[in-house]
Amino acid sequence: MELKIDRLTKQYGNKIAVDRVSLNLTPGVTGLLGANGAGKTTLMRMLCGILRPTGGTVTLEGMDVSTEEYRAILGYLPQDFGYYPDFTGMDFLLYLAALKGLPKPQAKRRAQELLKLVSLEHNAKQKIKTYSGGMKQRLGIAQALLNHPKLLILDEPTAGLDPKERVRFRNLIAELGKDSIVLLSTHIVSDIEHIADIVIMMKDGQVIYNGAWDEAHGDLEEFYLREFDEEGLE
Amino acid sequence: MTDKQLKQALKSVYQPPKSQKKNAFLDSIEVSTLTMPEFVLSQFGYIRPWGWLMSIGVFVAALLLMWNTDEQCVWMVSALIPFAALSTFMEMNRSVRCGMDELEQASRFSLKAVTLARLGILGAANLILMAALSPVIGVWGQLTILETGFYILCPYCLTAFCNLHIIRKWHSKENLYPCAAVTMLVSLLCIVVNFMTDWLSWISSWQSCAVITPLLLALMLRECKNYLSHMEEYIWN
Repeated sequence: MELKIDRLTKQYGNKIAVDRVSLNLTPGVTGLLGANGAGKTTLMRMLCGILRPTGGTVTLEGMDVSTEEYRAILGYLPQDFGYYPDFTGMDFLLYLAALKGLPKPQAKRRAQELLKLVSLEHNAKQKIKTYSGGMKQRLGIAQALLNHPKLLILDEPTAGLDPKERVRFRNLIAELGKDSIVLLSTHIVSDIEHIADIVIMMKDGQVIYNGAWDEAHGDLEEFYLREFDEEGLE
Repeated sequence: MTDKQLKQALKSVYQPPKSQKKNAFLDSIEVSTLTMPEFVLSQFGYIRPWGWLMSIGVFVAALLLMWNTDEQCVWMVSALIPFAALSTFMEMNRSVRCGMDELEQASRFSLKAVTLARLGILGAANLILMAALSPVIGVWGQLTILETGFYILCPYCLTAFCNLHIIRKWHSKENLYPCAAVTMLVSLLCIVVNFMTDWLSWISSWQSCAVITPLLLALMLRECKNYLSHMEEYIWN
């Protein structure tokens, strides 16, 4: 299984948000690093079929990004997501399960399984508007896993989680990376250092580093800070 | 120790082995997925009761109005119809207003499918209600089928066209307010035209009906097509 990204470009007027990015992603965790405005979110949105690229292609096992088959095996956690105000945690998961094509009995079973996984089983019938930021984030992670995705794209998944939860989810992501292609974008360099098999760094819409990171390369955080101005970081 | 006690003791100490190759096993099972008609049916439950109530309320109010007034008040029925269109298009735009659009877009049944399903369900419901209202207006107002269609469809299509245009051009959570304002303007226009007798006689002629109604219908459909075909481009921070 391989996700092929070929000369992917996104241009907004004069600004090139993603500039001819070509990558091949295989099962495992790929960490995506870059300062704000580097083009990470735009790249991820194009990989999810949310944004139409100006140029280039994205294919997974020969399936184009714009097809239903591609989206059927995709799990996506956006940086920010909303919810219908009257939804409970369980309603939210059942609704997205229907959108992912899961029949109701299967959806119910999977939703309960995932609510347990993200420690929200006791809050399943609670309205999402009463959830804390961390609880919403955990619900977001749960919805991304509903369809057992082969391609999992996570934009800042550990943002808003307390340190204990962060480590737990980091381990969960590493576990998922054994069978699926996981693309993980974060500003937390230590998360990438711990779980990413491959590190990709983006700057001004271009890939400036793509490969495995080991001790021989030195400290990733130092490299990251050297490459990106500190004022560009969160 | 009796057999029963032994069984209970075994049950309490038994630990199932850790699952091996669970995902590979799950992958090998043929899993049934929702078909498009099943998905559309599932969307019935996700349309807010408010959306249904608003549409039904408009038609009930129209019937009550005709029951209690003389035949000259057909324009008042036309003035109510834009609110049914408003409720439909606000329901359609709910994903954007609530910030669910990005998650829906990345799903197997994408935002386009969700929008079309909701639009289809509510549009069909409105069509049924309008079709039921049409003969009542015809009999009560002593109008031809063409005139009845014009009185009902014209304000509906005009509101739908304007609302779709606003939703398409103004991609924001606050687009409810301009849509409501335009709906009220269309409603007001229906009332104002009633007092302009020269206009009324011209607008009510079959020639103008034959031109204006299909034109508005075509504009509405074009806006709908534009909205759906550029959906990916609307999601951008």
